[in-house]
Amino acid sequence: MMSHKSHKTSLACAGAFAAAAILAGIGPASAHTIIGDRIFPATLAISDPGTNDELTLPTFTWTNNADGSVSYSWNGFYGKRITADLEVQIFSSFLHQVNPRLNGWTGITTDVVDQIMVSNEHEFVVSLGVAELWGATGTPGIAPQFTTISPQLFIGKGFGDAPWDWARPIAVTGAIAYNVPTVAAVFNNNVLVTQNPTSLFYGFTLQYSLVYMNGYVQEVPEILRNLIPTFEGNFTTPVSNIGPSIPGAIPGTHETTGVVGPGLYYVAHDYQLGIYGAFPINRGSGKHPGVFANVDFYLDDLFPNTLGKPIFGGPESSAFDPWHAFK
Amino acid sequence: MQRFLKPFIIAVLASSLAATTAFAHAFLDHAVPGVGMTVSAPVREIRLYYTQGVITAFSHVHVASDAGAVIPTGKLVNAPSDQQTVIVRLGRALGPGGYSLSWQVTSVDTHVTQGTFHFTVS
Repeated sequence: MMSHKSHKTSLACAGAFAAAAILAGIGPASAHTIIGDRIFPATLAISDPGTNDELTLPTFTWTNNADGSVSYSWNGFYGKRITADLEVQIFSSFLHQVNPRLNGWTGITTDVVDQIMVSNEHEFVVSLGVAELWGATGTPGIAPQFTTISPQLFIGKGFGDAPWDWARPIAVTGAIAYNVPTVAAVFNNNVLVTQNPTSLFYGFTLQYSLVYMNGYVQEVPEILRNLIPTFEGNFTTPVSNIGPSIPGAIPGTHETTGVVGPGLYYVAHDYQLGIYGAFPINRGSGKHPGVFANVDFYLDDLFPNTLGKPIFGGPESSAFDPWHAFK
Repeated sequence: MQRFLKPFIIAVLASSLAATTAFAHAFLDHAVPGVGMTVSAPVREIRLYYTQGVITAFSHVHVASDAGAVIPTGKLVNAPSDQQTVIVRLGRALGPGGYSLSWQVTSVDTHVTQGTFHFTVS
């Protein structure tokens, strides 16, 4: 039977594993995407819905977790288009945690994302992806020793086709993923250490693009014309293999947790800066608000003839266009 | 910050890469008459200011009144010593009324971008 101290330590580790899996399973900022006249920035609550050639270095997060720990992480992300519609991604994070103190790498995540629907005219994109957080690729005690597989769906819609000028700068994006650990539970000398639930991760962004407004609707003062303010959120709901509730356990393991809050992105010619204030939706989501921030480099603009173009084919999408399919 | 980060990234990503000036998609930064703005008559030319250099030979602009009348335009040219500015010389001065301008440009790194905006002449 586990002692109280080892039990709390195990739960703390489980929290770190879970956080890492969720964070890395979807990943912080991925590629920005250009669909028609619309730039979908590399957002922080969820990945943007399309494909591109991108380097995000770093994404910084500061979170105040439900178990009382405080986590700081720095993430490096690289995305490469194989074709205009198919992108492979790789990313990992370094975690510094206090209370309890932890330092190390959270493991390597790879992702393959395919744009399956694109309408440039209607600023619409749908992508499917499969991410894998590879087990035993990070620091023992921080990164999980088992692999987690996450099928994903991304969607984005800009409202440049709206009949009202005030609505045209608006865009929305959404993402959903199902995280499936390949190991249901971890035992040590027949004692249960962690139980690894499957979980549903989902999120959204609501964007009001001053970049779009300035170019297509109404001139914006120069100081504002590179900005995209947002409201974003992401949530995780445990689905199965959750295990029994344990009195005094870390809150949030048996309920939906998540964060919401405002974001702001500065979109320059070949890079982007972003910041997002993440407010916990309940006690299980964290004790205090956190902050996410990123620096994202648009490789298609920095290196258009080398790193910034698809390996095969041209830059234009050939994905299915639902608006024209039946004309 | 840009002065620090760009040289850092270029160095990290290996010297075998062809070093290029930082090109980008040519998005419309501002225009004269301004996007969505109202200006005084007459208007004899329109200037489009882009975020990157534009190859006018592979670019097109279409101007029409709200009534649907097409406004003739001359050959697109860049401003002297400024490839990011495109000058649209109009076949006739624009009188009072609303107008739409549709543009499609090719940037110096061959990215194609397009857009439409409206303005009013009072």
